[in-house]
Amino acid sequence: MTHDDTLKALYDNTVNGKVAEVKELTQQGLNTDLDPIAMLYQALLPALQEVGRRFEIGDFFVPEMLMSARAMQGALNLLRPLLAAQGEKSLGKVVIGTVKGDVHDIGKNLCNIMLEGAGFEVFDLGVNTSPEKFVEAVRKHEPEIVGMSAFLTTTMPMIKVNIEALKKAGLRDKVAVMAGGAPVTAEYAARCGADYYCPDASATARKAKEILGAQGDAPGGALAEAVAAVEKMMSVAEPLDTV
Amino acid sequence: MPNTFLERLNSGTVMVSDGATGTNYQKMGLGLGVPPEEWVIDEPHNVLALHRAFVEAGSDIILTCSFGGTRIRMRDSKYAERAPEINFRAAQLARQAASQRDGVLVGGSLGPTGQLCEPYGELTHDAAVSAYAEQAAALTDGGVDFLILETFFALEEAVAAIEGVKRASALPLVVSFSYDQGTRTMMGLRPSQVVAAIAPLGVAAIGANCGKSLDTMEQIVAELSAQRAGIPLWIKPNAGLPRMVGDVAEYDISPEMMAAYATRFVRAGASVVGGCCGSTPAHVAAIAQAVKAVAREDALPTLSLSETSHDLRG
Repeated sequence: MTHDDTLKALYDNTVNGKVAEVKELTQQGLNTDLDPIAMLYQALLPALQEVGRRFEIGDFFVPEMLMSARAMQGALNLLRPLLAAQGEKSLGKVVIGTVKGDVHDIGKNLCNIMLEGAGFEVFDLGVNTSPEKFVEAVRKHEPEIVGMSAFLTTTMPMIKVNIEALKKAGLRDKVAVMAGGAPVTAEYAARCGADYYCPDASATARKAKEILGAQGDAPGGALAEAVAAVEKMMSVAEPLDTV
Repeated sequence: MPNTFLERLNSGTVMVSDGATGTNYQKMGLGLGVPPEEWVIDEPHNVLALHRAFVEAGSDIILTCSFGGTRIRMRDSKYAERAPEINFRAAQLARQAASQRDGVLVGGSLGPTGQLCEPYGELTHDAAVSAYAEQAAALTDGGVDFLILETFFALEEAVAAIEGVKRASALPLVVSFSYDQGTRTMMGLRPSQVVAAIAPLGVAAIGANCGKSLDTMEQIVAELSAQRAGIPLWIKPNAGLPRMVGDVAEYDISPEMMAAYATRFVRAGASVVGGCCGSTPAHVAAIAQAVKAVAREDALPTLSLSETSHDLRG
């Protein structure tokens, strides 16, 4: 198997959520001196972005996304020490949580996966997160972005409460606020004072990259290349297979 | 003793269920982030009042305020340790409200745990089975006529819930999924896949509730009907999607619009119709009126003879 074959297989198996195969291919790549950076940027990240794209158009659903993410994480566990040794830095920090009174975390966990997959360092505050906890985490981790998820019409007003708490703590200007969750709309997120609305996990990762780009902290050369490759791939993607 | 719910379902009588619980409680003052089930203990008069409003509006069936009442989902509630008691009391409150008109039935509501089952999440099959068995036992003891698993989205969880319910209760069981991605559930299930997996497990009715829009619900009803599984259909859509006005979720679908769709659902084969999120007693009243008109039409195929049919309608 050439390096190109391995990368192609790694990409395909990650898209298809083959956990064991992805781990094996990653190990095989390492054994044959395949560059960890190449595996990350030419196979794994594009694969996860493709999964995100299919999720957005309704071709993939939560199960497919979770299995792909798990495959990706298996590969990252092998690659991470090597990437760290090569000085590969995270794109930025994101603090994320499900708002107070809400115990739904499936969507938020998908955001974590997509954000981590895209190269962010994620601090997950879990479910039922009080405004105080958001404030404390923003102060402690100094993230560029804070994400708030609400699944219920009864809990979505907490987004505004959290943003008010950040203002009061003098932290509002230091972070970009992203909001999302089933009942949340762009209009509602804006009315709460959030900077960005994220309709799903894939959009969250994309938006996070845009935000950091806007802050002058653009992704490095290798990632830029990967993103360009994915965009090219997406532009030739087949039309929506609507149900 | 014969079960009235089953008898009516199998006789082909169309029944009208109730409307929303959570969104109506919000209008009655349910606090931010407070689970509706806590009202069973804290505000039982409000729970009763909403049940009564639905009975007055014409509901033949009302559902208990126990949707989030599994031990697993109540973990973060101040009443985490009192889950079985809440279910028992919820059943009794609904029973009390149902008694104000003859023949009103009570369905014990059981919703998802909010977690994903293995292999996608941490929740084990056995833990889910025992949580649903506990909830079903408490609702049955509280005096419900049947049980309903509603707003499910994952097959693994529904199968575990059915196993748990059947372990604890002999009452008829309705299983209803939420197709919130349009005509697929969050996990990507189509109605036909749900019927194929659930019908063999022995359920009284299969349903669709909540979801995205009335139009997508109509597509779902068509797909469910096309399965011809010989199982009655239970259809309870949202009054559209919420639009936030201040801190209150407003739903734009009018009672008349809901009623028009309910009529179409009945004509397409639904045995039970009602409303989910955003549906007020006014929505239910409109549905009840419209659905009864359909039943009269069906009984009178010679509608063109308007004079005669008018007399016959009495």
